Amino acid sequence: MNFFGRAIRYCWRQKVRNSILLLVFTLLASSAMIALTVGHATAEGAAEVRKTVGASIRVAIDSGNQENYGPGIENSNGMSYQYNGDYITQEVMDAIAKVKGVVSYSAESEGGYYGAAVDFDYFPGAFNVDVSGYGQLVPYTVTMNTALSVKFLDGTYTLEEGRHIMPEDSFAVLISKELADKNHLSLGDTITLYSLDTQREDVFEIVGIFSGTEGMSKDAMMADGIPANQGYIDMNSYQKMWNETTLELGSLDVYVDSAENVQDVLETIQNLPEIKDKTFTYSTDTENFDLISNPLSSIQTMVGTAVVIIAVTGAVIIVLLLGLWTRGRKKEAGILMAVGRSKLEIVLQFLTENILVAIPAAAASLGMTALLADKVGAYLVSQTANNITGLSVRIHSADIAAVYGIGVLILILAVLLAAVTVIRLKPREILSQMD
Amino acid sequence: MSILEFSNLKYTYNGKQSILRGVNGKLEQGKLYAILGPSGCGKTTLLSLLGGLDRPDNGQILFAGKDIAETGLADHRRNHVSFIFQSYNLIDYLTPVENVALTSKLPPLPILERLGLSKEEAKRNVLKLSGGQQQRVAIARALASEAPVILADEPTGNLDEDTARDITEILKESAHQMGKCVVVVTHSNELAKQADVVLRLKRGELFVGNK
Repeated sequence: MNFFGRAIRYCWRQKVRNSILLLVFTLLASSAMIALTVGHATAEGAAEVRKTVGASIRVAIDSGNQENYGPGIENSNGMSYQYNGDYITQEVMDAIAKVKGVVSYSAESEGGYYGAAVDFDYFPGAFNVDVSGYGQLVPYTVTMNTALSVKFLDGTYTLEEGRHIMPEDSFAVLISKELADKNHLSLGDTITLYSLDTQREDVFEIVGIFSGTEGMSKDAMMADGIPANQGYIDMNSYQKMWNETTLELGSLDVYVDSAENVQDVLETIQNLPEIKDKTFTYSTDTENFDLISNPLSSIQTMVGTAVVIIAVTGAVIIVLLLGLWTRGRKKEAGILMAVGRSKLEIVLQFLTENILVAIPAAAASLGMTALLADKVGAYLVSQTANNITGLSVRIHSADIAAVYGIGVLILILAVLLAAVTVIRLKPREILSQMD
Repeated sequence: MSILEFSNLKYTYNGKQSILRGVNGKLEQGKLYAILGPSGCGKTTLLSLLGGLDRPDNGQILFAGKDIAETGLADHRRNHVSFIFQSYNLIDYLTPVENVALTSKLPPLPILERLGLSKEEAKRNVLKLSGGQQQRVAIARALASEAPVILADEPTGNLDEDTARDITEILKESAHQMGKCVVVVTHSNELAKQADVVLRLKRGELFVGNK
């Protein structure tokens, strides 16, 4: 009977030992494969974030440079200075939009518009001072694109109904779900706001309703400090309110496709003929990318550590188990050597037995990984990365190959290590020890 | 003509205690040899050296005129000798049939039946057999091999009188009818009486003794 025949019989007849080994192999392979699969998914998630969020470049007028101001004019409040530098115009924006790597651009001014509720009610503050005659004035963020607003990007707010404000919108508003519920407002309804600065009433259509203010405090001194009251209006309506025919912005956020090549894009923008000699300042911002990708990176680090721990622990467990069991088979090795079997054949038998157990363990671990990987991935993401809505967890053939390849290597080393304690002895030593 | 010849065999235990001090002998096929001697005199050591389970410190063992140290001990164990141990040394997860199949490609059942095991017993786990039955399996394993030399270390030591007598008879038959060279280390005078040649090991030296 050759070693393979003996190995099959040993596996079949030593059920307890082999069931334990099957369980250990399955658990170790599954854990390693789940960790690698989740790691892969987070890497892909980070790449996706890199594509969709990238980074941004802020182009702003150089309002801090005194050279851009004309001579001071005396008035009742003291000296006033006129800004004579360049503004960001539609021509500038169009040129930037054509730069390779630029995904989108947006300008927003947080609190750029203060509006009083003409035909609806805000959540009241502790003190309500009515300076406009229309009630409390509440700040709105004036924006070209709410989808690119920080609070939507970082997950503070989520669009519940409708759509985001887009660059072509005019007199569109996004309000909180709480404010909508309070006033029984829904998509397509209009609200009227009064601005003390422009001294006019304007009617806005509700194009979107967002959530995220629910957990925020309503205990403000005044209504303008309550987040549920604060909304978003579009840039075009702001222009029209001020009767400005030409769009002139103080700053523009340019979103690029990759946080990695943000410097290259910036350089290209700075050298555009429409921009080259303009009095603008530039800064780069990878905060949004970092905000989303850092938790993914931390999962990747965690998963990487887990893989190393599983591999080391697994190797130790397998070496100890096989060492213990192989020492118990010293007599068998002695008998086999006494009947003329070579040491190599004995090692091959031990190895074959473990590989025969490892084969069903590999299949079982693949099944377990398919069942559990997405759940583990979702759990880790929910614990560490609130901004990520989901990971696409797929088992990669490279991960399978890595786990099984390293597993077989560990197995071979463990068997050799265990077998060497037995086969280094002379058959007589083994048999006389046993007797 | 001798099948196994050994000369000037010396063996020291742990490098201090001299067990064999220049042992010489010639063993022939078709004969049953009994090696007698007090406990610890080196009988099992001599058997192990003859079977290639260990190497002597000095001396030479020739099988059919060839030095086993040169042809290889594993090869010697595989092709030239087969063992029967006092503690049977069967592989415990195999059946008698499978244990016998370790040394032979011939069907194991006829030889097991010839040694008194039923078909059902031959397919049972060896640990579920009595001591006598296990020893019969060990003998069957030795006989089934094509090795011309059988080395038996106190094969009847753990057995009752009747079974011991049966085993002795089988060993005798193996020598006389199958032409094997059977070397038995024993304390049993009964077994020694059945041997063709009795060898006595005293103070590390081997003597041809009287029956």
